[in-house]
Amino acid sequence: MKPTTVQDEFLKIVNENQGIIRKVCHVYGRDEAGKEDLYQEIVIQLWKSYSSFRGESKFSTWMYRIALNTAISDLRKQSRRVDLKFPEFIPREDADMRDDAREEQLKQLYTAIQKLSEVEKAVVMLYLEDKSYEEMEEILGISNGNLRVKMNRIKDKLRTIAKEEAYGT
Amino acid sequence: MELESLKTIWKDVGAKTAGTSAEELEQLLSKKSKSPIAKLKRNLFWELMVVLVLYSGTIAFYFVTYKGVILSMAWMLIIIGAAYIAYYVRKRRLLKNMECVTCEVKSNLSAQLKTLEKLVKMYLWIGTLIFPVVMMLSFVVWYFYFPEKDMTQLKQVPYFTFFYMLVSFLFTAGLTIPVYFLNKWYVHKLYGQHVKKLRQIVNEMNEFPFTAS
Repeated sequence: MKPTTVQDEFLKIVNENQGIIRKVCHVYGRDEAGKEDLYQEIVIQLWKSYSSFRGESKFSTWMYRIALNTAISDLRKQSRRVDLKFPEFIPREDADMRDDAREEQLKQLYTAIQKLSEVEKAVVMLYLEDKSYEEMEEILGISNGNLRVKMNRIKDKLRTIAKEEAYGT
Repeated sequence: MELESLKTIWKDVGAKTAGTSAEELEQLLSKKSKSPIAKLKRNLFWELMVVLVLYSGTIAFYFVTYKGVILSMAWMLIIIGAAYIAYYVRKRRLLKNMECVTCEVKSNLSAQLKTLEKLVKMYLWIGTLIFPVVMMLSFVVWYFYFPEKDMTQLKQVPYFTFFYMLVSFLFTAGLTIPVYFLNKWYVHKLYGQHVKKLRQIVNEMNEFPFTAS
């Protein structure tokens, strides 16, 4: 039996948690090329930092920190990099099964999220992931109280954006 | 739009997402990072290589080819080269401290902002100071050795040395002022937007919850 190397172990964990990276890319990537670039950069940063992962926090928390740090720090305009096939967010085989109303809601959500600031995007994403405020604090470094206030403001902001979209203003 | 009800859809999306294949992921691991900091580090390394090759070659050329006062040119290059090494060490250290992707997002971005501001200040001062230093060193060299003119005759003129140094100083000082502003504009053009955006994000993260409207 082939021995498991650190790289194999890393690839296995990343493979299991790809959804996290992909969601960060969809929220922060400007276009398809930008998403590919960001995906690549996050995987590289995760690999570079993997040896320092001591298991003191959950793997997903550690992964979120790296993914968000990479996404928010990368403020420049990104150029296309490798020829990485970036799968569609909802794969084709599920297309027939998808509910149009849910699809529309998701589309609206993404459109609204794009109008938020970099910090608000991170907060709302972690909220949708059902992270507790304590976990959000551990990832973002923003105090619990501040996060709650921000979350309330974001909810209001998203409602306003949704209304504006609905009335076409 | 109620976020609570969207949580389920959001989770479903994550579960339905098709993954990048293991081969593609493995291929990514051998790629170089293209983050701005990684690029700055790589550029700095190549800059060092270029300086080392060009400076050592030119210095060796002077020492092998010439003798006498003109060798002061080689010594001037040695001084500038040594100053560049000090700059390299400082910049390398700053870039190393600039990134902590495993840290909390707020502390990482705050550290990045602080380091970037230091880097910008360093660029501005070094870029401005190098001009008068090189100019004054060049005037001193020309005083002792000017290929086109015999300086020994001119040196007989009363107060020549005083006026030569005064004019050199005034000329250098006069040009240093526009160089400072040009440099400031250029540094701002290179890093200004990035610093501004980072500061905006850090301020937003630091915002005190009960005072903001």
